[in-house]
Amino acid sequence: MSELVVEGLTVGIRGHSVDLLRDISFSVASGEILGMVGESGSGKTMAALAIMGLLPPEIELRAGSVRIDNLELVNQATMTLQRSAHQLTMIFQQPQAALNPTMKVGNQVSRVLQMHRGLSRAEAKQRAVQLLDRVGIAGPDRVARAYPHQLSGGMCQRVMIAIALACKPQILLADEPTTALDVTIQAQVFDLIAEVAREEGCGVILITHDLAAVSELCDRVAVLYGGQLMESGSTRKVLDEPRHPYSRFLLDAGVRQVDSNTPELGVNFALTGCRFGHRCSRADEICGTFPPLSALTADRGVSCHHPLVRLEEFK
Amino acid sequence: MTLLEISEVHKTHGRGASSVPAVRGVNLTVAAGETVGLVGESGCGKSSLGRMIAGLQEPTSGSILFGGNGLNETLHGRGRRLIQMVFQHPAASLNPKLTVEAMIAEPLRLLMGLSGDARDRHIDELLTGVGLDLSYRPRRASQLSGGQQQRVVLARSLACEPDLVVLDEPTASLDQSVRARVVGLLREIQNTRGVAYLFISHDLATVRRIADRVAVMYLGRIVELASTEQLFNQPTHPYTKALLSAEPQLDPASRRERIILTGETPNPSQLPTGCSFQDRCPLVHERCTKEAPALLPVSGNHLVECFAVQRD
Amino acid sequence: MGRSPYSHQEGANLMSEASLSRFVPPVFSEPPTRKSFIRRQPMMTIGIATIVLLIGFAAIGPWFVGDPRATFPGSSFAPPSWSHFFGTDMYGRDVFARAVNAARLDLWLGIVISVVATIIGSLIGLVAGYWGGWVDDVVMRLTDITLAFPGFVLAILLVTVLGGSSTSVAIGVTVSFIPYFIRLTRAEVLGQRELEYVDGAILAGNSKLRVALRHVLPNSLKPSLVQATLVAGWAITTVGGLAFLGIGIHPPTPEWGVMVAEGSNDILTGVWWTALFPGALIVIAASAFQFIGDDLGSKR
Repeated sequence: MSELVVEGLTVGIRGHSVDLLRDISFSVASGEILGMVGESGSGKTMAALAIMGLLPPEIELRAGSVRIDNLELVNQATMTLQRSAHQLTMIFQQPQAALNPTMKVGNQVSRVLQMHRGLSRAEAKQRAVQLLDRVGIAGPDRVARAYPHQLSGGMCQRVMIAIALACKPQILLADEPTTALDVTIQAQVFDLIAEVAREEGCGVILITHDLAAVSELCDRVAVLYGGQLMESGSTRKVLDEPRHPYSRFLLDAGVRQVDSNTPELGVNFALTGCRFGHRCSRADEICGTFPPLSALTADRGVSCHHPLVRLEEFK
Repeated sequence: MTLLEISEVHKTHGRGASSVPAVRGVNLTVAAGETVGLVGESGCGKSSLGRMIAGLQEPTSGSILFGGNGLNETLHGRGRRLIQMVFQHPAASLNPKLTVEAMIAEPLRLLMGLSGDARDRHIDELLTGVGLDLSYRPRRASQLSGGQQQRVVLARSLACEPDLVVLDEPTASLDQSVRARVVGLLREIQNTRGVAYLFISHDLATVRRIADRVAVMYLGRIVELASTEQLFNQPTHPYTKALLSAEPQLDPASRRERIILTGETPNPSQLPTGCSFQDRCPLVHERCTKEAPALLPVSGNHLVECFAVQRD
Repeated sequence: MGRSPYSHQEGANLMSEASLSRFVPPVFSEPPTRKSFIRRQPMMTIGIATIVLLIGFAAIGPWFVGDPRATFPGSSFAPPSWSHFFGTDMYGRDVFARAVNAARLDLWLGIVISVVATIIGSLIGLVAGYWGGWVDDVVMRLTDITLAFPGFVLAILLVTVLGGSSTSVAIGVTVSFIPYFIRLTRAEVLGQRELEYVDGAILAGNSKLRVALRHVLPNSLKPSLVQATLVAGWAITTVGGLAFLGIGIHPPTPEWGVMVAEGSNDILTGVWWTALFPGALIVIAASAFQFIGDDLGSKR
């Protein structure tokens, strides 16, 4: 039973006072799928990279704790994160770009097995083919001998998942894994991810902008905007009865396509208070101070000074 | 009144051994003021078809008639204003060196023969029409958000008062919350100006909201053509069914039973004899491997290209 | 409510300092810290200042210094002094006066060669890249052949064939630089051609020619403009080098390369000022153009 707990994650550009991520906190249990939802610039990819310890050099981790099974990954003195592949792995958005174009796909999987699981070359090769089969690739020995450019996007994404699984991770991060894929392939990849979560028992964080996908696939969801965690909780609760004005706006404007009066403004990272403040019809003076994540129920949190209570309230 | 008539249009890219058939015999009509949705996954040929209709590419064979005349004839000179096109990437659709003003002024000048005050007034009207503040006139593409860029593109396309606008994935690069706005804008424009749209997209939810009729393409052919309601409520072709079932739904109640297609889209230059869908079709039988089905009505204006369904 | 919200602004400074555009959309609203032009691009500032100074000398200098061909009998090989800043040469001519007059010719040649090569090369590159097909093939093969000759050797060949004069030098050196611009512009055009605004320009009613000149070309010139500044510097050294070899520009025309050639023998007898000053000026002028070009290239 593993659990990932992230608390107070704060990230910014070196030399600038502005925070790109402000006080992000969430958790994922094994076998559970957490959806991290947001539009472009919401910071969802940044959060993933922060947890993985993959932040670019210009970006620094300013605060936060990342614990897996109560083991702290962040060195609080140096503000750096160390993690092993067995703890956290990640798959990315553009499957063909994420694979090494000069290496056969099978070798990419077996290399990982050799490095992180200490298998011998022969053992690794065999296990690699098994893994490719595990992720639903037909003719795995033939595919193992292919190069990424010879495979379709869907196949490459499966290979990525195989590589990620090779380390038997406790937590799997999937950053928009299907955005570049067709809808029918997307369905296949989502099914695979759900299966992996169930059978391998790893926790999955699915980063996406697609609320419908979250609805179908995720047990819990966290909504981000402008680097601030706006709302989190069980998927059905958040999607059916959103408490944060931004969640409501996203649901109305996105899938339901109901118009509201929210102005179409960009993210204002200079705001010291709530990052949705400049667009929210419910905002007032107090929204100039950062709203802490208040727990509404045991598993429900909202970062808002004026959370919605009834559905009709948001106009 | 039929505006656009596409007959047996084929488009093959490349030559000889490396040729790839993108469009393989498409027949379609678009009436004045209507919106026809064109859906399909990557490689189905919808973009190629769109570009041919907009006159940006020549078909390899077949004919495209606009208002009864050949396309080349129609689009000659000022006639270029009759059919316009909007693309997927709004940033790339705008010349980075030109201001919003200059971009909109160009078609007004070249295709409408306007200048001076008349032109300025039109620019203002168009900007207001797409919901942009007039203060945006001196801005350049890099100073606008994706949604705003797409609005400028729309203003530009409408400047010459076209009869038909081909929209190729116009909202795919935009944030979800902005998408709805742009679609709403498109509908408003259609109501005011009576322009017809060919709306190409892989986003079924959006197509459902804007299209009157929908054509589903697979590997260069239309496999199903019906009114929007018919298509979404009674999808008939097995590919359409799979496509609709694959789309994630926010509301659990509207979810369809998932039909998982085996395998992947075959290589268009290596198609089997018979129906191009045979390798993945749950309803495949012998006839499908020998003959290719034709697009025939199953009821009224609902056309499907599938032996299994036509037999019923 | 915190600071007043902006609607869409480019945090251009910030974006270029940290390549964050994949994380942060261009609406970063911390006001850009504007370092002064000089601090942001010190090399370019030095380069521009130097060129401006040299042009100043070249433009008005000749009126203040004496006749470059005037000889001061009895004071040949006079070392630098207050009356002759750069000393005098074998014929008793004031080296400073000659150098200042030579500046006109050298700078003029450097700039003209660079500008003409850029214009001709870019236009050819545009045609090759935009129209493609057999035109592109022919142009590229010709370019390849031209580039197969070392530039300097090609210049020598052309100038010799065209006869010796500053005009033939200008033409010869220009031709040797044109292929670079053809390639650079063509490469950019090939990329720009695929962008949707080119289709948009056709849809707006532009003829193919107008699309090429009005839309594609302006967006394809950036690398060529950077190269142009570098080429100005190279042109000066090439012209000077040719003159040193006795090709093209001959004495007694004051030209830095000619002066270096004349002065090169003098070093043996310990007379260093006749060759050093004109040589140093070639280096300074060429380097100044390099500085400008380097900063231009790295910024964008």
